[in-house]
Amino acid sequence: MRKVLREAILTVMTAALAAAILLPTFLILKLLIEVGVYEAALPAVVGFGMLLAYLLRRETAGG
Amino acid sequence: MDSGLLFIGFIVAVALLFDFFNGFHDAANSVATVVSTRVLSPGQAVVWAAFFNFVAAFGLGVHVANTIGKGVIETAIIDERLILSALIGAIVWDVITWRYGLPTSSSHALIGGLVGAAIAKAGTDAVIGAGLRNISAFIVISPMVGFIAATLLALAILHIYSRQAPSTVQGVFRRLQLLSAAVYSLGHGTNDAQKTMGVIAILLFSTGHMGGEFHVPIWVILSAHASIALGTLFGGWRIVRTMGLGITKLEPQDGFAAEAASAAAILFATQVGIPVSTTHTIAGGIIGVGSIKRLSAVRWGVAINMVIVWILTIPASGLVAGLAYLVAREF
Repeated sequence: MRKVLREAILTVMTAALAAAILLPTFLILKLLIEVGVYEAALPAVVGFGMLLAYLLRRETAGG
Repeated sequence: MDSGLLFIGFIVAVALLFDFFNGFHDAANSVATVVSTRVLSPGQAVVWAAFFNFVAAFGLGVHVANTIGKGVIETAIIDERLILSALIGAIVWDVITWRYGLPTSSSHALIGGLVGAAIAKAGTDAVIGAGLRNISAFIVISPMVGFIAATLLALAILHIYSRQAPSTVQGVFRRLQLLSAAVYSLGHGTNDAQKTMGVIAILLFSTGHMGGEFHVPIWVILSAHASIALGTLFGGWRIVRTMGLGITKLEPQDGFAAEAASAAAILFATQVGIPVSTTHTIAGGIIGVGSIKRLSAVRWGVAINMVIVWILTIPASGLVAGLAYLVAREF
């Protein structure tokens, strides 16, 4: 019973966490789109994605 | 019945067949992660996805349909032959990529088809540059956003659940994956069905069967959603293997992060009226969750082949559509 309750609480908390991460991400993207899709969103998204991939590569090198 | 109307009815049927095939082709994207993590059996997963594909008909708008209908090529040059040629280009490319198990984009195949047929009919001036530019930008943005959002989410999950027992993690994410698969299927249903709606609506509008103002009739909305849902029900298992097992090995928490992030990206694009590839977006998400383990966990050879096919999609479907138009013009 305790395990089920614990899992239920974790499920709700994780769904809330997902919303807390995803909503701001898309609010930022919407702002970029309002500035101009091609001019702002594309380089910003590609730049951030490449930075993230580089950081992951450093973190996981040799892993 | 008037033969012109019969021809339009035939093209509407071909458009709905394309939509059915879109569901069939992209069923893998909706269900690959839930199947590969064994949260649902393949049969249960396709029913789950198809249900949410259909439910997406209600309340998610028609912004993408408007973009397809009015934002890719000049409406003044559209006629029955052009739309039929565009559909032929998209269907031929979909069949080729399905045959080889390549998860390409039915959406970009359709856009390529419209552009190719329009150029064959009236030259490059018939293409709306700004519309095509925004769609092209999202060819890169949508998988990249799927990658970024899925990576951030997966990192947060990894951090929070690092001290939890594996059985607890499995229990939580098996439930959450049902939710993420449902939301993903809503996004897939609305963004992809709207492309077919846009094609049918512009066909009816440009042939004078809609009245003075461009809009998407309710019967078009319902039939497009029914077609994509049926296509999903019949599923495309070759591509399930590539998406669910070919790129990286998935755990339920990985599947949740990839699907939730991709679903959010697709629903966002739908709200701003951009037709994106649901295939590209989920692939970006899957690569994101794979790469936080180890970059070597991602089968980069598979991922690179997919990118090559993505780049080829618009020109290849455009070429087939252009040739189809040149043939159709003779009749």
